[in-house]
Amino acid sequence: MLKKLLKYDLRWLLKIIVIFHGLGLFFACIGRLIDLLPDSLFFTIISGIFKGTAISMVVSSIINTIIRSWVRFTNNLYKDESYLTHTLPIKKEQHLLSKVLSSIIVIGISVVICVISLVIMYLNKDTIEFIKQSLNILSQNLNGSIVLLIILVLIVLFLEVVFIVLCGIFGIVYGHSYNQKKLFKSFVFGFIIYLISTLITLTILMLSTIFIKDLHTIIFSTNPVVTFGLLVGLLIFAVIIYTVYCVIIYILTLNRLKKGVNID
Amino acid sequence: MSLLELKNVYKAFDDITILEDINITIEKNKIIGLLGKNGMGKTTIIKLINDLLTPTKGTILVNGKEVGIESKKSISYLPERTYLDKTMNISKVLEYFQDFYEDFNIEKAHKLLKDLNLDESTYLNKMSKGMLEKLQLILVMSRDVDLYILDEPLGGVDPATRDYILDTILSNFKEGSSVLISTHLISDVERILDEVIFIENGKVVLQSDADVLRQKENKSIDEIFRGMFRC
Repeated sequence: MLKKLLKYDLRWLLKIIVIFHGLGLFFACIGRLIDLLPDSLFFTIISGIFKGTAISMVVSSIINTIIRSWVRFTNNLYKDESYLTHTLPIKKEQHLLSKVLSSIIVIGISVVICVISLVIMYLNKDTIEFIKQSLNILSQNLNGSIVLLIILVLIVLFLEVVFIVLCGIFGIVYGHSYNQKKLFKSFVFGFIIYLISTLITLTILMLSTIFIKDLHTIIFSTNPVVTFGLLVGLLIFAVIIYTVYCVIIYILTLNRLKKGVNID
Repeated sequence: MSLLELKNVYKAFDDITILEDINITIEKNKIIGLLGKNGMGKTTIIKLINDLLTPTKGTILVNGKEVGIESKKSISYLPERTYLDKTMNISKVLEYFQDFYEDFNIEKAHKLLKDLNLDESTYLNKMSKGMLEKLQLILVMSRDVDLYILDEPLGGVDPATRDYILDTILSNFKEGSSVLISTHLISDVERILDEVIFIENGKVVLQSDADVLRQKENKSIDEIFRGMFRC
């Protein structure tokens, strides 16, 4: 049943998002093609406009995926469509899992489209050489693998987006457990869980400065010395903490959902 | 074992009690009218049976099991409102029902749609409210289940459409199954009812066999209802 739910959730989410993806790739290609024309200020400006539009399209696709995920969740589980959703012979955990997975998949696709667009727009011999040199300099200064850092940064960014989606879904489920001002309460609950998580993260970081001298230097010094080990440590900390938050928020949301709904 | 049992069911929203000590038993192979004026709690009862509301107190059993996946397999529910995703076309809606309901009879649905001259490529957002209601009725009656629950199927429709709706219900429900119809338009459904349940102010005030009640009172159900609930 999960596969079938995913099919419909993905279809609904992608229906609009693919337009952003298509436009992003289209403008990226046009921008790149204009770069092939003889050098002139006019063509540089036009190319810049197209490339800027391409970037805005792919960034919009990620923001839109987050918002559409929330809209889909609300419509499907608490508005008119919920009269069908809740009468399907499907467990509530599968409904939630399908909604979360479909959001993650579409966000993943959007990130891939973003990377492809950047490659189309900017990848050439000079850029490759520039990236290589920059990475080498960074690698020498930090004395460690830059690839590892880049992978960790991407994972942290991805987890943060998933965390935001889950905060919204948490807010919708708890907000709709009340009988009045459901949308307003959804917003409040979503914001509160986001705020609490952020405050916990900051508190852990501040407490860690007592025990980790380098971390204390990074946070409180005006001229910090960043080491590779500390950077990797911080990123791994971010990966762990976001994973923990996502799991906790998911469980809390599921528990509330399993207690039943009250549809208007 | 009864098909549907509601035992001491209460429902309150915040401090307002909507349903109070509801006890209803529905057996197989009956057509039951859930009758009451607007706002008396008919829809609330139906939503509780369909897991759209959570009871404050009490138990609801369908074929002896609490409301859940198994009960949803046994019930085909027609709500008052349009619950379909309007960005779909009819054939996609049929595919959706076929995907999620093992008992969905697609041939029956095709036939009923053909009788209505409905083109399956038509998008739902291009259809009138009346046609959407007919489509939903076709979808609901194309399932082979133990209990059909129809919430105000005749509300806000013209007499000709009422006849179509009643004919569709009577000629398509699975043999041996039961139909629970909630309505305040009693004269239209009276002829098909085996049993009646009268609801007033969130309480069951009467549950009886329709023929027994008619003979006892020597009046039609509609007249008894009007007599009992006169404003």
